[in-house]
Amino acid sequence: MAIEVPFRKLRYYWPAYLLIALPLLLVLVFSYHPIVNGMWHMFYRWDGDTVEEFVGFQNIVRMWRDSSLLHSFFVVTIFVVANIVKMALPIIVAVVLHHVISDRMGYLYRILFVIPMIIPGMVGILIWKYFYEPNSGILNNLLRMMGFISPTETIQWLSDELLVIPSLVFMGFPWVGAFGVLIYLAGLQGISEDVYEAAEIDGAGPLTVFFKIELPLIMTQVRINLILMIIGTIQSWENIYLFLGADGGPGGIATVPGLLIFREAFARGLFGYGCAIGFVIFVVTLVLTLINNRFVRVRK
Amino acid sequence: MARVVRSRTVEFFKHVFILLVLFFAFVPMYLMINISLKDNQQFARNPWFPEAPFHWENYLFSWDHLGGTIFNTAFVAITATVLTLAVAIVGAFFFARYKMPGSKFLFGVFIILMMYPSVANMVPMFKLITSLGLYNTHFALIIPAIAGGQAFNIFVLRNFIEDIPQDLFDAIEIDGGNMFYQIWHVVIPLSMPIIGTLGILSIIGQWNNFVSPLLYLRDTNLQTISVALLHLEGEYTKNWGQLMAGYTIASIPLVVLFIFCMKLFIRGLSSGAVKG
Repeated sequence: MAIEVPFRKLRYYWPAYLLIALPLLLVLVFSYHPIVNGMWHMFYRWDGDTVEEFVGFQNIVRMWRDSSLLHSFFVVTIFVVANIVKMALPIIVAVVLHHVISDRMGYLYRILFVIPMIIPGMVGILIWKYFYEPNSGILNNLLRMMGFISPTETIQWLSDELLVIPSLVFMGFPWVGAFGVLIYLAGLQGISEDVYEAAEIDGAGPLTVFFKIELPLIMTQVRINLILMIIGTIQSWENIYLFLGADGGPGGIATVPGLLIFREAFARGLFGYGCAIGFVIFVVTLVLTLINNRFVRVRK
Repeated sequence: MARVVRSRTVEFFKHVFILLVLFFAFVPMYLMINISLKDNQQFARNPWFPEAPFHWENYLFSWDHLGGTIFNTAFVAITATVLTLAVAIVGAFFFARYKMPGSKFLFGVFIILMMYPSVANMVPMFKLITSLGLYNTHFALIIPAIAGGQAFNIFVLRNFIEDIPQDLFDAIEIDGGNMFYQIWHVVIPLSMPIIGTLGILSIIGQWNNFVSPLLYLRDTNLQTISVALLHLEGEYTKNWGQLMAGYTIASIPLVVLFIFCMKLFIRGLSSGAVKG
């Protein structure tokens, strides 16, 4: 319960504002100031140092003509769609875990799912990079062993234009972060026994139970994960950088918007242009969040 | 737990499915540890299974290159996490305990940042860091992390602090305890489980942070683990055993953290001042 402080009592209670002063100062300086500064400088030719010249809409026009920008959003759309599909597996795993009859095994499985997650994400990416390595990587090794390709043949997972994006999508298989599974599981455990009994009396099969009872009841968690995943996917470029370097693969085919900012600003010194691309990413995220809030409703 | 009684076959397939998913989830970890003990000949002959002699010296090699950066990363991650939480707890306390004029607006100022993609800020942030003279110092990683963590941590902590019974605060006020006394003796002890969880999330985030050290640090002796791992791969070795040993070394601190914090979770959950 909170203390209601009306205006007339402010005389006594104003020191409470001091509690919020430090966090407020921090976000004003390190979040809002760069946001405003970036929006300001997208109208500038700027190298981050000496050159700072107002150029009006030049950067905007440049973006309009820049086919690599459009391409980068196309690539990131592929990743978002792929990640939405990939969200199915943790949900299925959580439901199956929930239905495992033996409590002991259920508990053991839950611990086991946490263990692989302990590996830092960064290391996970580098291990997968090794899996895709053409000569001694584990994937080609496996394919040779099973006779799908000849011993001298190599598949260039990360330098073949057709394979780069599928390889990036497949990375991290089976895509079950323990957080996702455990969060869904917590939601499922909130469903009372009565609901299941009622469903059974009505003769509902497992699929009906899943779609009519379980999925609606974990929709809150699914929705939160969906929003976080979309924002995360649009932002992330470090995995591409780690896999393919700053070029973004053969012909820059896997360049995502974040990587494009990095290249334009830090390799070519086009800071103003980087700010402009940043603004576009912000607008796209905002629109997606609004759509998400509108269409992915939580049914109670 | 749900108990829809089904046949034994169905039960069997559930276990098969889970074990299959678990198998694939464990492959990267297994291969990392397995290969970390091989030299290049053993690796070429048989990358799949452990095989004597085990080359523990791979770990010594990688430690030489990574040891310092691990200390850097630990310093940055722990400092950033402690300060983030300290600032956020005070902020969350404000929003949970006082409905002041402008409270809602101020809350919005923080919460809206959760929807802002920080990648859009890459360029102006870099400029800010350099003009504040933070470039090539650990502050360039720590201070933005504290600022960036406020929105999410305040949001989570506020919900938690709101649920703390009023009686506890009243009792302390009668005893003449001020706000900071309330935070120290009521809020923090009672919020320990959530503080622990947020702390772990923050440390994991910092451990994996690759972009900030890549952009803000120049000197190798300041570098953190993620960038160092990339350099290890690119410059220092093409020996897979040494690389995988490096990856294992980079993972160990988080493993230790997890083991340590499982205890913290349980202790935090089982303690509670007012029940019911």
